[in-house]
Amino acid sequence: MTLATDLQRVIHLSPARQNQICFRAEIKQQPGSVAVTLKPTMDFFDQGRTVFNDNDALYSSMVFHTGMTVGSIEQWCLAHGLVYERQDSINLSRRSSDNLGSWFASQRDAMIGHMVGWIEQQRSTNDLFKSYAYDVGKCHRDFTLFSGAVYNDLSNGTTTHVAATANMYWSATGEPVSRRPQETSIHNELKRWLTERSQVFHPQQTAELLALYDLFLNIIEHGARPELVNFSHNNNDYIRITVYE
Amino acid sequence: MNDAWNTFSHTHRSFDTSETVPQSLRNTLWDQAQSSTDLWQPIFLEDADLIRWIYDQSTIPVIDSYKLPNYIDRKNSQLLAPLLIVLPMIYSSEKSNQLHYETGRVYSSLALTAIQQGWQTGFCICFENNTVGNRLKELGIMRQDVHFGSLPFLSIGHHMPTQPWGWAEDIGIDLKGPLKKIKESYITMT
Repeated sequence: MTLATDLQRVIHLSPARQNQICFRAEIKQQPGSVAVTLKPTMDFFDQGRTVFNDNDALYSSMVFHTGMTVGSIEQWCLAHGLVYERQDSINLSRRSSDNLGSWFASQRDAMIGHMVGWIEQQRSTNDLFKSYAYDVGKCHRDFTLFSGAVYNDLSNGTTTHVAATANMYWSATGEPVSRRPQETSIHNELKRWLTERSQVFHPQQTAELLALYDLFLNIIEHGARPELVNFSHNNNDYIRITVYE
Repeated sequence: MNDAWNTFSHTHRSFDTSETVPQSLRNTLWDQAQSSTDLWQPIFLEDADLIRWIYDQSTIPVIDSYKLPNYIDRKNSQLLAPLLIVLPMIYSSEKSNQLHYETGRVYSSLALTAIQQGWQTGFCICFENNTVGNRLKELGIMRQDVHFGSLPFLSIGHHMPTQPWGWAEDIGIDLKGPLKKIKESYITMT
């Protein structure tokens, strides 16, 4: 057994909440030492099983379990006479997600109403939309999906949900679905409409909202590339432990 | 791998409640828990009646079918232990994550210290934390300015030797599952 595989085992034996994993771990072997980086993430977390009512409480629980794993590694190093260094970056307070979900829910009908009117106008003035047929029920579905994805990603500091929603504009075989130019145009208009109302957000959230929308449009046009998708719950939080051999 | 870490990975249930954790181990753990009393209040509970009352506040909702067919009602028997430890935090919303992280580290230290002295551990976050917190405050055990947050109880004892470590006595079912549903794919090694 090498030091790296021992550490892998220590990490995997750390008690998990309801058998669920609260972080990603990277183990990097380097001359004379092994670096372990833990990043809290919801990637492996079954939220259907959680007892928590909000993302902040859930994230706190995940950070607690990440801390347990760090403590377990530290105890293992002490028990085996190994020297280690620890670097923490868990000092960021979570952005409050209060009101974001309810705001999107409250705006949904207005958003759909605006977009239906805008599409009707385009059908009479814009050649791109001359033959564009639409269904209000599908508008409702798509905007509900989109607003839910934005809410989740803004709350969690991820891009996963928006990327997955945008990727629905591509078929399973990697071909773009039909009407992509119209969809891009529609979402540009929706971005403009949302931007006008984004003063309800914290400035940082406004910037993140617009960045998420740019990502959304990018994926509609070009497809989802792995480098566009951030699965980490909050990619600024990490712990790195370097264990010396 | 040292057996201690295998033991640590288990949430033991149905402890032998006739036992008492020796004062020497209790003192060792108490000293460890004092490491950051500016962040949390160490609470060690050994009163059997109070522990059973806390256990009674851990009923799993009937709609929860986790691991159990037919939606069997149950409680979290890992809370029925000779010693329960919790480190409610001196709450600060700005430092909430840092506090949870630090308490996580100390929970591991406490648990592995007990395990290395031949004891077993369990963890339980599924209890009515407002009800339990209020009761502990009424009893003068818990300070008014501390907060359970998303912390579990750490239980220490020996599970009944006649039963498997995951045995839930109230429903007569072994609740131990696979170590983790997800194998080691969340760990990358280069």
